[in-house]
Amino acid sequence: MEIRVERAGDVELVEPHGRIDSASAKEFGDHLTAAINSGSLRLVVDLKHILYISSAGFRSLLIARKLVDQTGGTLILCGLSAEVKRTFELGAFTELFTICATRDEALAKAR
Amino acid sequence: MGFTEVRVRNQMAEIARLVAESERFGREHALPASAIHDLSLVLDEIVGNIIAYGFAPGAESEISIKLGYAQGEISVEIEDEARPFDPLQAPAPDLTSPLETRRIGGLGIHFARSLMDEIVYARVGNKNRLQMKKFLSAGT
Repeated sequence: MEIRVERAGDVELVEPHGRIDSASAKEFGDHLTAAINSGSLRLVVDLKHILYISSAGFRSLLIARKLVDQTGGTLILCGLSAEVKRTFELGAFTELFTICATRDEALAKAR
Repeated sequence: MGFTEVRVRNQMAEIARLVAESERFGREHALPASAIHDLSLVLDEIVGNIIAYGFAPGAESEISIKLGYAQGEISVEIEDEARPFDPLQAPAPDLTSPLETRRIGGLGIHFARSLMDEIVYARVGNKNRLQMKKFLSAGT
């Protein structure tokens, strides 16, 4: 997994590439936690280039989601492939996250 | 018709190699993207679980993963020498709690049970053997 980061105004756009697997989930979670703790209160995570998310990856997303709630920030997900969307549904996560279809929609919502 | 075996050490860094092999296997047999996704995710969850919880700290071992494909049927056999563990007996995951109290435990096995069509566990000698099948004709 590789993580690319862009700033769009005061929104941090996080774009992981590859697989959020059992081994790389920690790095992904640490990145999100560090971004939130360093003051990036508006996070958009674009999952367009993600092939799959393991349960460990969902754990990282849940931790980040709780942290932005505590700090008054925003976490918006976008770009879910049909397969990734299916795992969100299997894990009953769709209700717990704000999910947009496209990056533009997510950025508009984050601002 | 095809068959391959991947052997990995009980280290989490091996998951990437295992998944790369399963993706290569899937492409070789022109499996649909959704089936390759499901196979990779399930191997990650099951083998990741064995690596994380199956062994005493510092113990070194190898896990065998056999993949087969014939006539619309993907078959997987995972054998390890970890402590006895039947994933089919694992507690159901938490799918209903709100964000504050949601837990992830059991989710990986829930993914496997949802995405594969058959899962059979056996303890054979000092090994756990997990056999799984996915039928492409079943729709996914």
